[in-house]
Amino acid sequence: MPVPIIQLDHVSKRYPNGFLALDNVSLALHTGEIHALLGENGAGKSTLLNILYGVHEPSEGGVLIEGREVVHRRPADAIANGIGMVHQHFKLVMPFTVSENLALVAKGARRSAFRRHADVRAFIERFGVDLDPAAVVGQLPLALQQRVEILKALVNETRVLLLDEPSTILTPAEIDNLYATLRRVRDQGTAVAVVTHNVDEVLANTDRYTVLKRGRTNGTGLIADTDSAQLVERIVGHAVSNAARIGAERTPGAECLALREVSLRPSSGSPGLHQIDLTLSAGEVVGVAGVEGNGQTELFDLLAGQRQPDSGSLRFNTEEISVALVPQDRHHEGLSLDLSVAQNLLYPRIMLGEFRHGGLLDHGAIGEQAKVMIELSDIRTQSHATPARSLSGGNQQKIVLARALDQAASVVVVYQPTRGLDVAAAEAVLTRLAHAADNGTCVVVISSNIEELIRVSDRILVVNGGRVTGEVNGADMSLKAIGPLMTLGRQPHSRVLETADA
Amino acid sequence: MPELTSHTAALRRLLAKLSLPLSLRVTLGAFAGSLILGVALIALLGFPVLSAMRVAGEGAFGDARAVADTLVFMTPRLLVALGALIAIRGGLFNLGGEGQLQMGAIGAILPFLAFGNIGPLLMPLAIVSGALCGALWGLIPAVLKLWRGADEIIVTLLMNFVAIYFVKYLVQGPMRPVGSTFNMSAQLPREGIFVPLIDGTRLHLGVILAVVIASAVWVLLQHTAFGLKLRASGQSPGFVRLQGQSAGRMVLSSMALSGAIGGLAGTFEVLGVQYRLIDGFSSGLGFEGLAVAFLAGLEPFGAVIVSLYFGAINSAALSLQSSLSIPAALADVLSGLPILLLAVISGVMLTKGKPVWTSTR
Repeated sequence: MPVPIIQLDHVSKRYPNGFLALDNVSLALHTGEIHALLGENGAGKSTLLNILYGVHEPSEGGVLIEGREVVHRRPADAIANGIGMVHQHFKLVMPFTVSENLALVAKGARRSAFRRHADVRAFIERFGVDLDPAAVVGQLPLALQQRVEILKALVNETRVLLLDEPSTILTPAEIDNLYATLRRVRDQGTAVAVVTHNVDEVLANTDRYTVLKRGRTNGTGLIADTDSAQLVERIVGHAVSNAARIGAERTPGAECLALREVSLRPSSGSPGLHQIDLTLSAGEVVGVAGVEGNGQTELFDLLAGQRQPDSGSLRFNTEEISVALVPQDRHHEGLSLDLSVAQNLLYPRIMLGEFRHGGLLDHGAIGEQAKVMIELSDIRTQSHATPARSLSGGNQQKIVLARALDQAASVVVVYQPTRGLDVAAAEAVLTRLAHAADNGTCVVVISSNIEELIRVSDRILVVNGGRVTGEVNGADMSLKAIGPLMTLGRQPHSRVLETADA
Repeated sequence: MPELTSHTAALRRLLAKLSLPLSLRVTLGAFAGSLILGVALIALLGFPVLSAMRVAGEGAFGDARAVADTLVFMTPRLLVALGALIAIRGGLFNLGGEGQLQMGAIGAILPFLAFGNIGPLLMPLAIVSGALCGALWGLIPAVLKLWRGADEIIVTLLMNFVAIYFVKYLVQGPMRPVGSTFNMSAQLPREGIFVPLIDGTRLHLGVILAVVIASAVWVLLQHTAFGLKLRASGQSPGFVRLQGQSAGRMVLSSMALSGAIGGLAGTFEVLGVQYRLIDGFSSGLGFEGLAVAFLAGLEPFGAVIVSLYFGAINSAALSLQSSLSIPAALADVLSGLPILLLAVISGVMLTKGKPVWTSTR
């Protein structure tokens, strides 16, 4: 086999906070191949790309280009070595034309050449892209904006092209077009690496794969030598914990919230939502599973009332339906960091008019009630008057959860409820969510931790690319059924369900 | 206009840095440094330093009259600062203190011009009218922000000049008494002004009201649900949004309150110092008040202390001019220096990796 164009040699990456993101991973990208990097979120895919692109330096091991060791201290070093990257969030100047965006990153003679539309057009046509050099980028559809990003990464004699989850925001037809372009790029002598979690897309379009799982390589090889079942198993694994189910058997009560054919338009970094039908009833735990970035934040925003659907309807059953939230962004949305722990815990109740004494806030009563909640949720803090900023991440998360469960809301929507918590604390949180449902609350848990979802949910919806690819309940809730739904998106429901049954 | 947007975004980031609670060392350093530089300036100009310091001290705090002058100079700066800090703590950079002060001054004279001398009711009416005018002036940028997303930094800043020229127009035209050649309105009757509280001094009721308002602002921020929501909105707008609270009402009410207090600064100047509306009565009090707010770390009682310092500098400068002929413009230099030094000192400390901001408010 020829020397790979770029190689990671036994690379480990430990972040300053001690988290080991990559553990002894080796990877070789070859000219003339499209290499798929597969894995769940948190598997280490982004860290790996960032090391190739010079954003991070490896803690151990090295990067080799054509067999020679190189050190990339910053992206500029990687770019100089012929590495280009397409980020999930576009880095384009929206009011500029295609030509101007390309000229902006071009170096040397090419920059002046790119002032002429003819030269830009010739460059674009080399990759078989149908794009007007004079078009204003901000007015192009998303798929074409992405194409401009790809071309931008190819401007300076690029030998390695890295793409971070390019297909998430695309429709199935657009995905086919994307790979048609990537094949042209590959055939002109550039090694291509694509991060994705969609197995069917990988099987149809790529040449080689590497699966990452919890920072380690969990299989690599030629696409020709593998199949869908093997890849799915390598991505999600098959170790199902035998930990017991949490909470009693429940019968859902009255319907409280319904989504009918709800859609949100995709945008840079967001797959949008497509024709979501979902009915939430009192006294049930509904899990939403999926690889992160497949419509979960959009669904959360809809349920939280932060966004309105572009089409379809979202209907509350009665006026009295209230929603309590545990958002993803703890620091900006879950907490007001400079307010005290007590004020954060009781903010909604204070705003509803509780804890007043002669028109002023009754700091004594707020403190007493906060102490009870701090005790109940085992929040480790110096005092209830400490600013939330000075608590650890796990304890901050406990504040957000304690508040949501204290609000006596009819619907509680939680996003990754146990992130940052240790095992015991996570267990306590899941138990409290289950109890809330036992007592008639509708609990929606959005998480990428499937084991946790299986233990706590009555039914689980699986999302992929902004679509609901399936729903499982009862004994069918297993990694084996959910894994393919998460990773084999984009097909009509029936086909996916058949795959899941098989 | 993408260019303008990026400039205001940079301005917003800068102001946000200024709004963070500074560590006490930085603030004290800035004041100490400005005094040292001021003394150095006096020495450089060839004036006797020791006697200048004695005259300055006596001019600011030497006797009842000096103290009263200091407090009278303190009052408008304190009120503008209180107005500004309410808005800024709520996340809105109200740089329109000067304009709100000008409108408050107009409001102070309006009842007299409208109803004539109506006895003891005139003064309270003037206060209400001044606060209302300031509040309305403060509401304009708030409405523009909510309605069209206009950046309040730019709007409040530019509306200052609209207000200044509006006062100029009024005292040269509609409000100038028939036959008068001076650019000023008619004088308020004795029933309608803050009469000096102590004979022989300029101490007036506005000074006391300003300190009372400072306490009220502190209570509002720390001990009411409104204050809690205001602080949360300023520090974490995402949190407040997710709690289902509308940002719009907070924008309107905080800007109205901020404008009303800024307006009172102008009202009290008319009722307690000028007794009439007069062109150029402010000479930048609104901008100094903004400096006070930032130097005070956006704390109400901090603003009392900082504005007292500014008041002392101004009354000291008057004495220096009359006894030693040191130009009174020295007061402007000494008022400008602390905020300049604040930037320099925190810049130097930042590059050395030392903490500039305290962790929390």
